[in-house]
Amino acid sequence: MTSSGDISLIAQVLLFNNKRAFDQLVRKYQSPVRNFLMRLTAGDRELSDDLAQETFLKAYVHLDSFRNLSEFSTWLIRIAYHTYYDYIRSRKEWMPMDEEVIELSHHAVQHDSAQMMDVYAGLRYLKEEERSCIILFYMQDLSIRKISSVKNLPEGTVKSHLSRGKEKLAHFLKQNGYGT
Amino acid sequence: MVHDSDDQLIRNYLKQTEKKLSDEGFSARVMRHLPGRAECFVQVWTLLCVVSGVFLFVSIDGCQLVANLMQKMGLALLDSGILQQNPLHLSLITTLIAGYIGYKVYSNVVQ
Repeated sequence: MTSSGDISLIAQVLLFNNKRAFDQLVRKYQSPVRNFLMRLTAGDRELSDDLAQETFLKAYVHLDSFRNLSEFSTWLIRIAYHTYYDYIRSRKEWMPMDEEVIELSHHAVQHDSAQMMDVYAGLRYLKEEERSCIILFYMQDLSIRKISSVKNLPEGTVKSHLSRGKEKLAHFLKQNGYGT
Repeated sequence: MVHDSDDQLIRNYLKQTEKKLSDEGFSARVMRHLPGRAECFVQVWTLLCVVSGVFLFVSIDGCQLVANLMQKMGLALLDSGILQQNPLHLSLITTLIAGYIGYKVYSNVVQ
C-alpha cells in the first residue's frame, strides 16, 4: 500500500491541482524510475530521461486513475514500462530487432563506471522481453504475478522469459569473471 | 537450468550496481512540461457551492434579509447621531466598507 505521505500529496494534486505536491512526488520517485528505464534502455541516459519525463507527465494526467491497490512506485513503474514498450514498438515499425539492439549499444553512456558498463552489456545480451522481466524481478522486486500484470502477459510466459534471461545473464557474468 | 547460486549471483550483482541518481534538473524539466489537468473535481465543487449558495439565498428570502439589514444599519446610524455630530466618521466608515468590498471583488477577479 502507498504511504500516507504519498496519498496526501496525491490528494493535494487531485483536489487542489497543487503542482508543488506533484513536484515532491517527482523528486521522490525520479531516481527509481530513471534507474529502471536506464536498465531497460541498456544505459542510454538521454533516452531513459526522455522516457522518464514522459512517464511522469502521463502519471500527472492520469493521476485520478491511481487506485491505491498497489504501491505508487509500482504504478509509476507500470507506466514507465508501457512508455518504453510504446517507444520500442514505434521503432520496430521501421527498424529490425537486431539493428535496434546495436542502436542501443551505440547510445550507451560512455562515462559510467566499468562495472556499470558490464551491467548494460549483460542486459544488452538479453532479448527485450527477458531484459524487462529480469529488471522487474531483481531490481524492482516484483513478484511474477505483478510482472504479468505490469506486462499484460500470462504468468507462464513471464516465468519462461525470466528463466531464459537468468540463464543467459548468469552465463554472461561467469564469462566475465563474476561469481568465481 | 538455473541454480540457486546463479539466482543469487544475478540478484547481488544487479543490486550492487544500483545507484541513486541525483536529480540534476530532471524534476524542474518535468514541472516545466506539465500539461493542464482537467480540473474536473475543482470545477464541479465550485459549481456545487455556487448552486447551494444561490438556493440557500433564495430559500431564506435573502433579498429581503439584506434590505432589512441595510435599513437597520441606516436607522442605527441615524439614532447614534454620528451623522449630525461628525461627518468625518461617516465618510471614514463608508471608505472602509467600500475599500473592503472593492478588495474582495478585485481579489476574486484576479484569482
